[in-house]
Amino acid sequence: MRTGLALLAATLPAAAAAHWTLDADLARNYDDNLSRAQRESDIVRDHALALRGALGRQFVVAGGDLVLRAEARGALYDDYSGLDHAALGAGAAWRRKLGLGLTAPWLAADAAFFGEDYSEPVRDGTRAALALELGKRFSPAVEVSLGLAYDRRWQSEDFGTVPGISGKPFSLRGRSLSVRGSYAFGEKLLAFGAFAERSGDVASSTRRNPQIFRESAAIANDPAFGPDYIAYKLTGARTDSYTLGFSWALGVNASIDAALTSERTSARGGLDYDANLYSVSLVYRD
Amino acid sequence: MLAAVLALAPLAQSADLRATVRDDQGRAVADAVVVAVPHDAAPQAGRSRAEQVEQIDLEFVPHVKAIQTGTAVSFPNRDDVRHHVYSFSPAKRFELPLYVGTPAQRVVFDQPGVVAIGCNIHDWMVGYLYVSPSPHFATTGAQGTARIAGLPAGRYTVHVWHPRLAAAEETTRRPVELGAEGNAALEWVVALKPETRVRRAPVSRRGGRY
Repeated sequence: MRTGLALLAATLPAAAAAHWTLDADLARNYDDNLSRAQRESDIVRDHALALRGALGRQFVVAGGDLVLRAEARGALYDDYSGLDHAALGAGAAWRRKLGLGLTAPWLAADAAFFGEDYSEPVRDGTRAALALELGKRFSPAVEVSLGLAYDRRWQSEDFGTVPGISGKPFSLRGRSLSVRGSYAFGEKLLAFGAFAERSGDVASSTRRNPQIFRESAAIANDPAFGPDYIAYKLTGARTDSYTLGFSWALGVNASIDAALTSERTSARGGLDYDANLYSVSLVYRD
Repeated sequence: MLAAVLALAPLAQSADLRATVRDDQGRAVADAVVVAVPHDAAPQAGRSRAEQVEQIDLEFVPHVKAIQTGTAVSFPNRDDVRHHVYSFSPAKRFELPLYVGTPAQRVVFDQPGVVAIGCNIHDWMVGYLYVSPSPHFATTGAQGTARIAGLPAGRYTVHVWHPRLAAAEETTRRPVELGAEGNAALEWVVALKPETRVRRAPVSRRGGRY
């Protein structure tokens, strides 16, 4: 992987200074609606240990910082091991100031592509994401940004069980608009918040429910939650997510963060659901 | 013999000023600039006219540097990433666009005052140049002490500056008279404002799951 990055680096302008970057986080998560189910009886809750690491090479390109990275991520669930997964991918991130000084606005772009391998193969697939963000720091303590994102996921195999309906409920696409902000109370403590509105496809899992056969664009058995669960895809859904978190610096390269993301999804046919994700993570960047 | 006596003569007429700076909690204050301004003579040249402020591990080193007016300063980049050093301070506005290594251009600080410097890539990087008309100055270390050596005998006004000084620099002024053989020791207790620079530590950016 490192060799591949070095070869990629060699294709960039020789004049560009470059250095290695390392980005990692280890998180303990709790999701109170892992199945993204509407009915209380179908809701599955679980904790997970998630690990992510990215090794990158940073260059100066077009007056901004370009980081090409190889990334690995994975998660182990306490009870629902069918959701255990590992993902390998690559990405590129570019960021530059649009002016001189602390309060000059900045522009950032990120592209990522992953292959994902789950314990239960119905979720195996590839994922791509593109994001564009425009931000501004108003003082040393306050920073705000606006973002646009597009995400796409391709499920590897068709697990069709219903004639005439796709068996790829985890082939999804969506686009998001987000606003983020942070406030630093000093060099140690920082509070952050975000709001995002995503429009597109969502996948939920439930026990047999006649309504989903009318509303779903794709259906497949979902053994990750039990033999009687099926996963279904809803198109044209809207998810509003609110994030609030705090970050405590452990030196200049690391922090311990705690965050809550609350999601409200409105879907076709009234198949709405709520989910809350609680996370405590150790973040390292060098 | 005569030459030896003549060589020692200036030393016999000079004194050391020892300064201690503490905050209002009694803690040592590092990076405080202590400046002695002579009453009886025009400021003299005598300090180095070429200095440097390095960039090491994505920080300016030293964080605070005192120089005499007219000094040329270079900004060598010891990191393997590019830096873009700039200042908007009225005492010296300048910009050294993205570079690695030591830029050929030195920056001459020809106006007295405080010059805050930053890096346009790494917003947490902040440093300060204190440009003094007087050649007699020193910066406190981790113990909060500094020593201005070789001061000619005479009357001085001594004052202290620090990036987080809560009060005006003028409020720290102290008169002192140095005799031909006498050293002096002064102590300041100053109130400091909280640190206001950008936090450097990373923040997680976890998204939702669909």
